[in-house]
This record gives sequence, C-alpha cells and structure tokens, in this order.
Amino acid sequence: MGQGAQLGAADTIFLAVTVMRLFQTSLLVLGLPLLGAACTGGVAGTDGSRAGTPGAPTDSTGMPGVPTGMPSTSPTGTSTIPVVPVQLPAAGALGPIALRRLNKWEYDNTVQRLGAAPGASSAFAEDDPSLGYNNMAAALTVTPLLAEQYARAAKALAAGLNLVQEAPCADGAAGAAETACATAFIEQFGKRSFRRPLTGEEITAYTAIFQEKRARGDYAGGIRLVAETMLQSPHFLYKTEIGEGSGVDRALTAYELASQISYLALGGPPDDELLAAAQGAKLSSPAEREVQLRRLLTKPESTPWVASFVTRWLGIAEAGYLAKDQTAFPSYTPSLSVAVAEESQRFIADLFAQSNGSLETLFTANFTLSNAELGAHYGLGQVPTAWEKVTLPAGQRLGVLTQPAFLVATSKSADSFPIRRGKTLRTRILCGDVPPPPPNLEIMPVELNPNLTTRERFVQHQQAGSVCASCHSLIDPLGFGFENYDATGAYRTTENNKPIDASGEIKAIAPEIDGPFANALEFTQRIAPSQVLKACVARESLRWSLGRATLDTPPTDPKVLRDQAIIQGLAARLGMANSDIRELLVAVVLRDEYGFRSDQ
Amino acid sequence: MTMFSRSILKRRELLLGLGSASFLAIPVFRQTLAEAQGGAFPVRFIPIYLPACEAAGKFSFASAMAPLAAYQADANSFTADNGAAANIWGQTAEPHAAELRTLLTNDSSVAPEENASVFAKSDSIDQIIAAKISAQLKFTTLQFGVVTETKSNPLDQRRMSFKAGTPQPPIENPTEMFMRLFGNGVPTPVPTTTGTGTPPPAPTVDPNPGLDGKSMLDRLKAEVTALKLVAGAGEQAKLDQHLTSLRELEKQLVGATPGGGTGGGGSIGATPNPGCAAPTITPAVYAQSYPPGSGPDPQIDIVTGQQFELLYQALTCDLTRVASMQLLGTAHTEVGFNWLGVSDDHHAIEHGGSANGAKMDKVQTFFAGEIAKFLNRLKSTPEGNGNMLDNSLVFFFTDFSDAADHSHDKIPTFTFGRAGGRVTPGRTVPYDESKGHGHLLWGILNAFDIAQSVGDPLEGSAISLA
Repeated sequence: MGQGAQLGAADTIFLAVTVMRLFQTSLLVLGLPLLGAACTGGVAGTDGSRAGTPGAPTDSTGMPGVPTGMPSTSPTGTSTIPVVPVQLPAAGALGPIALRRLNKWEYDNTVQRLGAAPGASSAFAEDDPSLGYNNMAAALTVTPLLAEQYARAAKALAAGLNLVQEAPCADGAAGAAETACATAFIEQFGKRSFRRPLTGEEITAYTAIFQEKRARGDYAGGIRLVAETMLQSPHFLYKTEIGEGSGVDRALTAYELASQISYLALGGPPDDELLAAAQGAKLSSPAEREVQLRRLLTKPESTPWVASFVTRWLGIAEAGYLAKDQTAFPSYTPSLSVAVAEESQRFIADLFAQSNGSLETLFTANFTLSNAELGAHYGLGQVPTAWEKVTLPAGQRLGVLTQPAFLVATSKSADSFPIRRGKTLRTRILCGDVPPPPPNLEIMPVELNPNLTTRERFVQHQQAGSVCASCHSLIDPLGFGFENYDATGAYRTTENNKPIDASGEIKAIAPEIDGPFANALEFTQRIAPSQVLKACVARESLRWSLGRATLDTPPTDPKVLRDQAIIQGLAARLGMANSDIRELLVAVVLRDEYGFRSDQ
Repeated sequence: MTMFSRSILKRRELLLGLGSASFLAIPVFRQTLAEAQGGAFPVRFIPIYLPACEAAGKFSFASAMAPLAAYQADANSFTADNGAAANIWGQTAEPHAAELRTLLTNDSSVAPEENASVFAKSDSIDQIIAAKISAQLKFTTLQFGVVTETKSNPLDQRRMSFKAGTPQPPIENPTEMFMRLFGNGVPTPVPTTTGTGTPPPAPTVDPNPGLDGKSMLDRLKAEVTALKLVAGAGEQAKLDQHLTSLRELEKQLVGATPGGGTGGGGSIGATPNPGCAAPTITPAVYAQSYPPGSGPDPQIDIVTGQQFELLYQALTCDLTRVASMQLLGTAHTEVGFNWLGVSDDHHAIEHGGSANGAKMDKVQTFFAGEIAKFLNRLKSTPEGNGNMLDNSLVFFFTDFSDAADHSHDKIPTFTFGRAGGRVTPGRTVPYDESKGHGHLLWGILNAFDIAQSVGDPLEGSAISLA
C-alpha cells in the first residue's frame, strides 16, 4: 500500500496547538477562572521555568509529583526513608465503610469454591477500570444489566451444582425432618457463599424461602431456590467492610478480616484454615494476619492474581489485545501478540519464584522468558524452541520497561508514541504529575514524514516559549529515551535511514533521579533503586489493595496524613525487605488500622 | 463554562466551505399527532451513535449518508459545537477518551479521582427520559451495541449511557439480547385504542417461576435495604442503585401484575403493536477476537442488522420506550470491514487523509443504510393515524465533525421522527455559535416535557425541536 499505509499511520502523531479563543462576553465571568489557571499553567515555562511556579495549578498533587508527605530524598539518591516522620492519627481507621463488589475474577474464584466450573462470569459485562485497576469499589456497582446477568448465572449455577448431594435428606423425610435437612444446607452453603456464618435471622428467612418453594414442588427445587437467592445476595456479591461499633472505631468482624486477607492474596474466598482462624478470633492480631497472608501468598493461584496488580500498575495488562499495523509490521502476528502478553506473566511469575519478587530486578533484569517467535523478535542469537529463561541481548534491554508488552502498550498501531510512553513513565511508573493541558486545545495530527525520525516530528513541542513546551518538556524527553524500540517493541538503531537519538531527561520529579540520560537502559537503572519508584509502587499497591483512591489533598487532613503515612511505611518496608513487591501486601495487613473502618 | 465563540476562522471552516447541511429547509408544519391519537400511543426515544464520522461535507444526505435521504422529511439537521467534549479533552489522558461520555450527558466535569475520568457524573439524557416515559415497562432502557468494546486503547472509555455515575454497558451479542427480550416468550398484543386486537390470554405457563422470582427478590431487596442501614454514607448511592437494579429485574422475573406470574411481558401500561413478534436470530460472530486476527472477524454486517431488528421489536412489543444503539467504539483500531472491501480499521480510515475518503464513504454508507432500514421498519409500521416513526425520536449523533483533526466544531447531528407531535421535522436548524451540543440535548429533554438541561450549566435557551 506504500504511501497509503504511511498516511494511514498518521493517526499516531498529534501535536497540540492552542488557539487562544475569545470568550463571549456573557460567559467571561464563568470562563475566567479556568482560563486564568490554564494560561498561567500553560504558558509558564517561557522563561525556562517549569510549570508549577506560583500561579500555576497548585494543588498538593502538583509537581514534583511525589505524594504529599513522602520523604524527601537526598540529592545523592541514597535511601533516606523515613526522613520526615508522619504523625499517625491517634485513632486509626483504614478508611470508610466500604462494599467492594466482586469483580469477574473474584466472582469466578468464589463460585468455583462452591463447585462451579471456571468461567462462570464470562458473559458478564466488563468491570470498568478505575485508576487503571478493575477492583476499585467506587467503580464496581450492580447495574440493571449486571443484576440480570447475576440472576441468570445464579439460576444456572443452582441448577448445575449437585446441591442435593451436599444436602442429602433421607428418603421419606418429611415435614420437620426435611426442613432440618434444608436448614443444615442453608447453614453450610450460606457460610461458604457469604464467607461467614449466617445470622439466625438469615437462617430463618432462607428456611422460609425453602418452605414456600417446597410447598409448590419438591425438596430439590426448594434448596435450588435457596442457592439461587444466596448467589445474588449482597452478602455474596460484596466483600463488606462494615464491622461493628461506631465512629472511627468500627472493628471489622473476624470474617470480614478473613475475606480481606484472602481476596488480597488470592482474589478468592477464604479457605477453611483462614475461616478457622477467624472463628478463633485470631485475626485481630497483626502477627496472625501476617502468618495467614504469607501462607496464602505461597499458593499457586496467588501468583497470577498479584501479578495482575503489577501488570495493571505498569499498564501492560491488555498488551495481548493489541494489534499492529500489518503493512508496517507484518511479522507482528496474533501468536506473537499472545507471546508478548504471556512473557509478562511468565516473567513476573519467575520474578516471584526465583528473584524474591524484587522491584529492582523487575526493572533491571537482564533476562526474560521467551518462546521461539518472541526470541526471533528479540533477535536472540540462540532462539529457544519453547518457553525458557533467556539472557537479553547486551546493551539493548533491561527489565520490564524494555519488554515488548510495555513498548507495545505505549505505542500506536504503526509507530512509537513518545508522548504516551513519556506520560506513562512520568505519571504511572513514577507517580509524577503533568499539569492538564489548557482548555480549547486545537489538536492537529502531524503527517508522517519519511525523511524524519519520530523524535524530529515532535520538534514543535519543544519550541521555546510555546504553550506546548511547558508540559511536553516534562513528558516527551522521557518517551524519547525509548526510541530504540518501535511500535512492536523491536530494537532499532535507525528510523527512516536516520540514526535514532534515544537520549532523554527526567525533569522535576525528584533530585535523586532528575537529570539527562543516554538511553532507556540508563533511565531504568537510575529509577530502579530510587525512593521515588518505591513510593510510587507503594501508593499504587495501596490503591489496589484497598480498592480505593489514596488521598493526597488537602495535606493537613488527618485522612490524607493517614494515607500518606501508610504509603511511606510501605515504601520503607520495600527498602528493608529486598524490595519484594509482595511485602507491600504484608505491610498493609500489618497496619494497626487494618481492622478498623470509620462511618464516613 | 460551556460555550465559546468561534471568532477565529479555523482551517476546518475553510475546508468546510458551505458546511455540511446540504438539503433545503422544508417549510415548517406541525402535526399534532398526540392530539389526533388522544395520546394513546407510546412515545419513544432512540439515540444512535456512530463514531468519528468523516463529517466534513460527508455527513449529509447528499453524500455518504445518502441512504437516509429518503427520510429528509422526517429529519431535522443540526450543527453544533460540542464544548463539553472540547473541555474534557484537555483534562484526560487520551484524545479519544472523553467525547463519548459527553455526547448524551454534556458533562465535562472531571470525575472524582476514584472514578478516574471514565465516568460521567450526570445521567445521560436517555436515562433521564426513560425514567419519565419508560419506567413502568419491562425494561426501563435497553443499550444495544455493535462491537463497541475496543481494547486498542487501554485508557479508552467505551460508554455513552450513564445513570447515577455508573456507565450502562451495551449488549453486543444479539443472542443474549434476544434471550433478554423474548426468553420468557413474546408479549401478546393487547387491544389498542382502535378496539382491534385480541385480549390478553390467561398465562399458559406454570406460574411457579414468577413466584420463585417474587420469593427471591423480596429477600434480596430486604437484604440490600438492611445493608443500607449499616453501610456508611459513602455507600448509600451504590445500594440505592442496587435496589433500582433489583426492581428492574423484578419487572422481568415477576412481571408487574400483582402477585406475579405473567411469564413474560406483562408490564403495566405496555401496549404492544400488533406487529410485535420475536425475530429469528442466527448466531453470528459478534465480538472481536483478541488478539485481533486470532479468530474470525466479527460479522458486523449481520450483527448490525440483527441488533436493529431486535431494537425494532423491543419497541414494537413495547418492552421499552428508550433504547440506545452504539455502533462501534471510539478510536477503533481492531475491526475492518471486509465485506465492503475495506480491510483497514475505522481509526486508520479516519486518519488516512483524502486517500481513504472512499473507504470512509463505504463504511458510513453501510451504517446509514442500516439506520435507514430501521427507520423504514418504524415508518412502515402503522400506529394510530400515523406510524411508529411519528411517535418516536431517533437521535443520530457522532463525536467529531472531522475525525482526522479531532474537531468538535459544528458537529452534524440529526433527529428523525416527531416524538408524537412534539418535534417538527423537515428542517435544517442553522448553526448558532451561542448554542452547542448541550443545548440540543436540552431541546430533546424539552421535547419529552422535561424542563431541564443536563450536565454542564448552560446559558441561553435550548435548541428547540418543536
């Protein structure tokens, strides 16, 4: 297709050109505050200063991007955590009362424990992601469609499970004897469904459902309807964090704690041992919580679940879904796309099993897991015949950010996309901020030019004094550092017959990492041991662990201080524990606040 | 802040020349169908979205939308800036990440952080209208989709319908939609005001399933209600939504007849048209395989036809009066249109420049043709003194006036039908820079006797459809 294909790829590049528009007089008052903020924020930098100077948006999440309350770091970059002790709230609750709906992954694991086949949720509407994660309480609700899908699934599950076998009743049993059989079933099935023993009121109510149905049919029909109802109960669908008591001292019940720990480690319901610990009221002890969590983290099903946090944090969870322009990249086949996604899974599993879950190794490993097709994509000298651990080509790659999954996910279809790469690196990997673009941007696509490199086409962003430069100077130089990798993640040293310039710069994030770098390898080696990275993964893991946003403004709010203190504590633990990512989960359950919630 | 004057002549306008409105205004006349019919017939609202139409001169009856030309007399044509989308663009990560959620909500606000910018806080107008005109029916609203899930952009948002801050996802599988609509049987037409038709028969199915549903839902509602007493303020809305969903489910499982047991249909006030019938749906490939190319391509042509037929029958059977149709996702980079001889994906065509204009025309003409078939179904179904289209308002909208430039200026938009006499069709409503897309949504709400705007605060007055 030649030129046509080239043009087709033009979608990938945009330059933002701001047209300062005139506001209607009648709207001037409404428009002024935003316009003012945008002008200040957008135009700052014309004198060489970055946005974030006085007058720019000045919320606490502004640059340098390290969450409020995070320790400052010494200019030498040595670990100084904790520099600034954060005052813990005297009476600590981990957060407000919450109802966390099971996502599809958790639903499947939960019904599988009841005997269902895998994939029970396959027909459900997708869980809408929030903050990059698909387990955030605020985003997981029961829409009319989902209620209907739950109903259909519950009916099918109740019909498919061999419930009578679970609740046998002697032939000929009738009346009270039969009801006793049903009640026994209600207690057992109910406890497994709700992840706690049923209350007396619940047993009575479900027994009544059985009896009403039994009067219209048979015993089996009665217990089926009970199961069908339980599988749609809010006590089944939500992991509750309600507890007992009032104010900030609401203590989670032992069973709520058990569910918290289990779904944190496995994305699934508590096993018998954990339920027994709950029954023995042991889980109010942080030490016992740690024992249980560590036990669960060794289970095989824990690995893909915790790995899903890592891939979602890095924004690579859906890398296997991405196709590339087949004219530009005919070798990027569906099977290679699958291999790219599988590499992430295998690499992280290997990291957990062989490298102590090390955050540093995640970013600097000189090895990966590869099959034949991926090995060819990497240009390995010796291509493996099946999945195996391989050493990466020296001088070309180090760690997960140089694996195709990340590079593919941050590219467009036909070419690399330094802006997306830079923004992902800045905001997701390093938790830095980028001021929002001013309103009324006029977006213009930039035609591909066969005589220019991708980097050269973004020159407009760098024009001194342009509104673009104030923000894009914070973003683009990070992405440029990865120009040695094309849209499929293949390594390259030239583009359009011109040499690649993969130098870049970290700007205005933290003194320990700020500064120019020669290429992606230098970048990733610099950030891997940094406090900034530890603080960022700590914040992200807390979001994922709690299923809620972490608070960072206003900085004096006790709840903000609490969240920032926890993040600081998690980051510190990474420093003490060979930077094992899984220790972030352990550190959470060890918090004194873990078992407490507040009304608000 | 919602509207901006467009004082600066932009490249787009130079290219647009005379703009996209290309058919002549037809003298205004107002037919008061509701009066003629005594208001006895259902009024319906059907929003239809097609992404990123190459609108510059092409989004008109004379061009790629030619299949719709036969319905000019039933149509109104609008061009309005989508200020909400322009605002939100600057506040989210991805160029395509915001438009869709503004198109029925006019909501450019930055969502709370925990909602991470994928959700609109305002209810979309389909949900607002449904609460008024469709709540008593079996389905308050239905959301249809054709290959809307696009995973090519991880930050993309895929929804256009929102209620209580929660996206309402469409159903893409015609078979699943069929089961929802007709899994319990086809509703029997009831006597219309003309006195013809047959009386509803006694239920022929075992009444037990209905009692099952009642037993179950009574318990579920009691549990959710009890949870509300102990859950914190922050979770009340979530549980309220859960209760709403259970009541919606109750209409389907139990029916609205006191005591339940109708089996299917049976909504209070439902007036199925005599044409009500369950269509035949042959299972087709409705979803993109991932990674793209690893499985059969979705049969967009077949699925689109099936979804529109199911939509038509959902309306004809009066299972709902508000149903949306989302054709494709935004920034779609996975699916091609091989049956049209177009193998490029939609996004590539959008940005392919003039070389791809003919391809875009083919795709647009295909979807215009499917919409035209749907309009024809409505128009050829008699209802009272008119037809179903007369009693409906079909709202056909897109997200860009020029996809290649991501322009939100002067986005062409159409309505079809008279909404039971509330809308006067046959007009080209001139562009007014003081009124944007939000004012059009406001005008649509007004057409359903809802005296409010939606989303961002608006100045001035609604774009009137009357």
